[in-house]
Amino acid sequence: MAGGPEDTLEIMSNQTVAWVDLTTQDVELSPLETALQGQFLGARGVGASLLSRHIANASDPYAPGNPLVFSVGPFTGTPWPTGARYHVTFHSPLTGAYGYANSSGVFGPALQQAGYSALIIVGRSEKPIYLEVTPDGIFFRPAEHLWGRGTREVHDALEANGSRVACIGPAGESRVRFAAIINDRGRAAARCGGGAVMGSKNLKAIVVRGKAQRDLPAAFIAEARHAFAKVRDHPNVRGLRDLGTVVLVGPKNRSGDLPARNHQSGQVPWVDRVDALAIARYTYRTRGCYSCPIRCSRLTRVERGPYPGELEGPEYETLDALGPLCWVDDPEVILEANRLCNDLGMDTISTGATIAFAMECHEHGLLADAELTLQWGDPGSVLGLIERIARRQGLGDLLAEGTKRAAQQIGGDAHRYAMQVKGMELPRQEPRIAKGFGLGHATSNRGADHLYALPTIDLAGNLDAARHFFPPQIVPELMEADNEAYKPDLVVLSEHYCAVSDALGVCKFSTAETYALYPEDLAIGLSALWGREVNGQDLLTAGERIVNLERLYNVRLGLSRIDDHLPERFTTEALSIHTFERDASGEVVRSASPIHIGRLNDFEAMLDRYYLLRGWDANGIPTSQTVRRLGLQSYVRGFDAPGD
Amino acid sequence: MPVALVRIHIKYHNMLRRLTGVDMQALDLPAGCTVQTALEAISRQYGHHLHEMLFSPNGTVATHLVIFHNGQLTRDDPDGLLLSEGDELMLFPSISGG
Ligand code: SF4
Repeated sequence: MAGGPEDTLEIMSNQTVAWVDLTTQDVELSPLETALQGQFLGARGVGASLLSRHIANASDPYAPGNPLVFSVGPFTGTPWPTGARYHVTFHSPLTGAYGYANSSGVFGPALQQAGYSALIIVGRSEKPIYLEVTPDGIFFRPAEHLWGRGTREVHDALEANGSRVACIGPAGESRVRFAAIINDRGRAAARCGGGAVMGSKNLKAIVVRGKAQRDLPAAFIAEARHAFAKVRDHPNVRGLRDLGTVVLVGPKNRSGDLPARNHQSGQVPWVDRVDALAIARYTYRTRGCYSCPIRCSRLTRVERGPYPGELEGPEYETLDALGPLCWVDDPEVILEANRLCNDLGMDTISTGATIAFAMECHEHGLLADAELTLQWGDPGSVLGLIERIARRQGLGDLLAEGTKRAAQQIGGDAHRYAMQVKGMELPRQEPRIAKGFGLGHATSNRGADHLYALPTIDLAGNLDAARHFFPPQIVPELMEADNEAYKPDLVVLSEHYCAVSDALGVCKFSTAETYALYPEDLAIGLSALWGREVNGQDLLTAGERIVNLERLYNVRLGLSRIDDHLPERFTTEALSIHTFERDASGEVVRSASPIHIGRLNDFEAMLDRYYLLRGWDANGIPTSQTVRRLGLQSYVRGFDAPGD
Repeated sequence: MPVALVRIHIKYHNMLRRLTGVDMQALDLPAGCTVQTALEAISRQYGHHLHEMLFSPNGTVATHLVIFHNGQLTRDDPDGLLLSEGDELMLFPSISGG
């Protein structure tokens, strides 16, 4: 694939970028640069380029001049399987560095079908507004009547006549640093605090009205149909379709990869209260995002009791964050906590990890609250803290800052209980068991994240994928979950493939999670769409370019090796994994001796190899040779890349 | 009449290795046995913790068990897949991402 700026091929018509200034209420339209598509594909890649070029003030994430970029990929809104995703890129208030969030549903497809590849939103409206995005233009509408409302009410108010909505709740308005953007009622562009950036701009919502699907080449539609059937029939998607992502709960608990009590444990003795079968009791329907043959989403309902309500969810990540991580064993409390986070507009992962942090601080005598016990597993504390954080009330004001800043304010040993990297809370894998994930959490440029790398090949037993990508001599060691030797290789490959998936606008459940589709499959589709030859390696190189551009953004801010580290719990404490038995009285007891001890043996060696494979120096900075190889010279401003 | 036996080999990965305590084992099974027979045999040998990893509560092979038969991912019904002398099964517990 020609990737250089010299590339002037006409790739797609009808791809508009809108520069939307909320201060002046001006909109400028321009075609998406074809060179940009060639280099960065779309969505996440285009967002990385636009943020890098237009960031106005990196010392203030809420500076009005900073852009908030909504972008879609070439497959978004097409019949390509899982072509449902959109991307939001911004300077993160949580990490103070590169930030993005990605979500599914039908909002992204509607944006694409309205004719927009990207919205670059700058400025700050004097009063609350929402944007109405249509094929005929972008309009500024007053939103004072919606300010203070939960995301459910905002959807009720704006979702008329086939409109699709992405909005913030009270948490975004009060600039909770991990506030989310909620779209299509139950989907979240959750991570890094994009909701707070939106709130800082007084932008309550974006309402999109698409039109019919745009004209697509017949060859592409044929390839999309073929790929759709391939994903639909692939055995690796079966579990996701049958039970959703919560299918992971039981198996993860057995292997010690179900983080509990703020990662003091990797297992709970009461897993059957919160596993896939327990959640299935509340499930009344499954749902798929736009053009998705996997349909992993569940609609759940609690009919009676203290927490009645309906929800799209919970996902595995949410279930662990608001359940076992806080030692909550009541599924109805978890569902209620999930509903509250969605309605208030907060990232469930960071919310759960922040509450678990508060509970562990309380356990060690560092934190107390006059009204909430902060005891492990206390439903009142979990639900009460969610409300207080979203509205920055009482202790919630401190916790709304995220675990890193809160720990600094609490002082003492509090930093030990802040499970974060670069300021963002860890997602729900246990780095001492899922070691590739541990490395990926540490190296991710948006802070601790499971979807930045999603290195599943070893844990999923995906020997076919391992054989496809890696030399045969390293495959046996690579497939051993506990063997650290080739985890860096796995993370590098997976980071590239995830970046490709995000840039094209597809869901990773069809790619890096299941390998139902390989990069070569995506390349066939993109070739048919663009009318020129692209191969799988071209795509992976584009993925590598995106990861490097995101790294360069952070390097400009002074981030380096020290920021690619896990909380010390993971490198200094071992984790005992047990089996569980029911004794004569029916009580579940764990085995006297562990069946496994989880520990990271040499994290620094993994990091060294990761940098080596990437062409970065020992400090985690791309060398000038790497920058040149990927055609990123124009993005290197304000610092000198180290020599080769 | 003595029952003819076939000898197969089973390789365990990750959590399955921890539960069995071995990397690999040879198993003698009656001729005409299937992958299902082999899984039932090792589940009897190692007890209910292994059984839970191999079978779902309704008795079918667990969705999370990944089976390679002579190096090839098997997507067939384990009850219909016959094993022959010298065959190798590789078993992975699949837990993947999030
Ligand atoms: S796999 Fe799930 S999250 Fe992904 S597009 Fe399909 S329904 Fe949406």
